[in-house]
Parts: sequence; C-alpha cells; structure tokens
Amino acid sequence: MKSRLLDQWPLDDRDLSASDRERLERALEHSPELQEELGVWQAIEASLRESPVIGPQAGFTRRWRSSLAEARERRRQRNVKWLLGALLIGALSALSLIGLEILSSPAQIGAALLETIVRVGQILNTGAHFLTILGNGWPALLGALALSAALAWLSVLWAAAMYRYGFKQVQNGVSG
Amino acid sequence: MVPDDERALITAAAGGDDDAFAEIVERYQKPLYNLCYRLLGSHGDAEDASQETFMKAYRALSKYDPERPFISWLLAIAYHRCIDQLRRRRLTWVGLEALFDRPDRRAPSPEVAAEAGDYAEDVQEALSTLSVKDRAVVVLRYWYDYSYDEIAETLSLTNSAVKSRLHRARRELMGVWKIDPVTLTESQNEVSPA
Repeated sequence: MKSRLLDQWPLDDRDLSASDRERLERALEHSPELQEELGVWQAIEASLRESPVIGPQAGFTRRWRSSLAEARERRRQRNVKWLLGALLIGALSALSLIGLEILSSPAQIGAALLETIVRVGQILNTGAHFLTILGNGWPALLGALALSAALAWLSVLWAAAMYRYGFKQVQNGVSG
Repeated sequence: MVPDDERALITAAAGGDDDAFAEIVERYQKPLYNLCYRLLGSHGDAEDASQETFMKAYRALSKYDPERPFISWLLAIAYHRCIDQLRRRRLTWVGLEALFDRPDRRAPSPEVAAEAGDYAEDVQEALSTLSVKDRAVVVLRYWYDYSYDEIAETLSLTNSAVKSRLHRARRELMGVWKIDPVTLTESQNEVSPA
C-alpha cells in the first residue's frame, strides 16, 4: 500500500515537533485522502493500545517454582555423575600410572612412589602367584593384606578429600 | 531507576532467596508473558518462553545492572529467548503435537480467553504478518509505551533502526489490518477539521 501519510509524516504524537504538527494540520485541511489515511492509522493505533495485555494461566509462579526444583535436581544429578566419573577416571589413571611405572623403570621414580610401587609390585606378584603364596603359608599373605589395607587407607583419604573439596563445593554451588 | 522495594527483592533473590524471586515472578509474569505471546503467537510457546526467561534471569541476576529498569532487562531476555525459539521452530519440520492435533494443555483459562476475545485474535493476526523484530518494536511501543531509546536499549538496536522498523511496521499494518467500521468512523470524525 502506497501511503502518502506514512511517507511524509511521523505518526506518533511524540515524534511531531510543533512546526511539523502545524504543517500536518494544514495538509489535512486540504486533503481528504490524507484525512482518511490518518483516520485508518488512528483506528489501528487505538486497537493496538486497547488490546489487552495477555497474562498466563493461573499458577504461573507455582509452575516456576517446580521448574526451578526440577532444574536443580537435574543439575545436582549431572554434577554427581561428573564427580563420580572424575573419581573413576582418576582412580583408573592412578592405577594405570603406577602400573606403567612398575612395568617400565621403577628405579627412576620418587622414593615414596617407589616404595608404593614396590609394594604394589609385590601385590601383583602376590596376585600372580596367589595360590602359591597361600600354599607357602600365612606370613606372605599377611604382608599382602597389610599392603592392601594401606592402599585402601590412601584411597579413603583421597575419596574424603574429593568429597570435602569436590562434591561439597559442587553441592554448595547448586544450592546457592 | 529501580525502586527501593524492587532493589531489595533483587538483592535478596541474588543471595539465593527463592521467595524473593517468586515475588518478582508474580510481579512481572503478565508483561513478560504478553511479550512472548505477541512474538510467538501461541500460549504454549509463550508459557515455555516466559518460564525459561525467569529461569535464565534467576541464574543471571548477578549480571543485572541496577541502573537499568529491571523490567527492560527481563523483556530483553524474553525477546532473545523468543528469537531462539522461532529459529528452532523454523528448523523443526513437523512437531508431534501438530501431527496428532493435540489440544494445547497450557491454553489460557476460559476467563482469560473470553477477556481476550476475537478482537485480540485480529490484533494477533495482524501482528503475525510482521517480522519478529518489527513485532517486538510495535509491542514495546504500543503495549508498554516505551520511548525509542528504551526500545533501542531493550532490543539492542540503534535509535534510527527502531524508527525505521516502526515506520515499516505501521505501513504493513495499514495494509493488512481489518478496521472495525465504527472505530474508523470515530477516528475520522476526530481527524476531520470542524
């Protein structure tokens, strides 16, 4: 639709300067076509302004609260999965590293690690000859059990540290 | 400028107070939903978009600039959310709901529908002929009475882009609008020089 009015005048009252308004009024006086167009626009504008503000169905805030609770639960579950995954990967990586070090060059690693590795090596050796060890008597089995207990204790310390500095922080982050 | 009580609510909500944010949801759900409905054209989509807007706002409260009106910030989030939704809708071929022609479970109550009436449908029909950005400009201008500067800030547009979009929208609306003869006569009587 070709519009003379729209091409020539801003249609909002707020857009019109006093001199523009005066010019528009003069133009309207001499142009029934322009008057008709302005009438059409004003009818449209009135319809827009009078059109109701549509609100949501009742219970919107309640629905928002339950969406929030669901989102938090999903996030918590996702974080726990990530944490457990990281824990598992960490455990596997540590075991692989120790295993590789043992298999390659145990003499080059640090003293503490060396001791662990040697003991882990003993466990592996013990595991490989489990039946033989059982056959040889309880002292060898006791050594393997002591080493297993030490490793288990280290694992507990590690898991506790992960819980304290990992899981707890994540949980606080979620609830915050 | 943000009123003091609103500022207190925002501060409390940013500190993790769900009840404070629920109060914010209660206050602004109607204007927010209206914008989403006008841009998306369906109650189901408007419900989703406005719920997600509040969710996003809740998480992003720390980024809110208190010098800016809070409602404008919310409307800006809602606008971008609607744009994303329309983009996704374009990528969807046939939704399952359309396939089975299921009724919209989140349609407004009969009272709301009656309040809006056929008249609102005409308005919505005319609006739907506009591009989404032009539609947003029209909604902010005529429903929320925003100035050009406020529209520009909310929609991340320049002032002149707002003017040109509004100009184009008016032109298109004049082309498609079904004018009620009574309203038209009243308007023309007002326009005609005495």
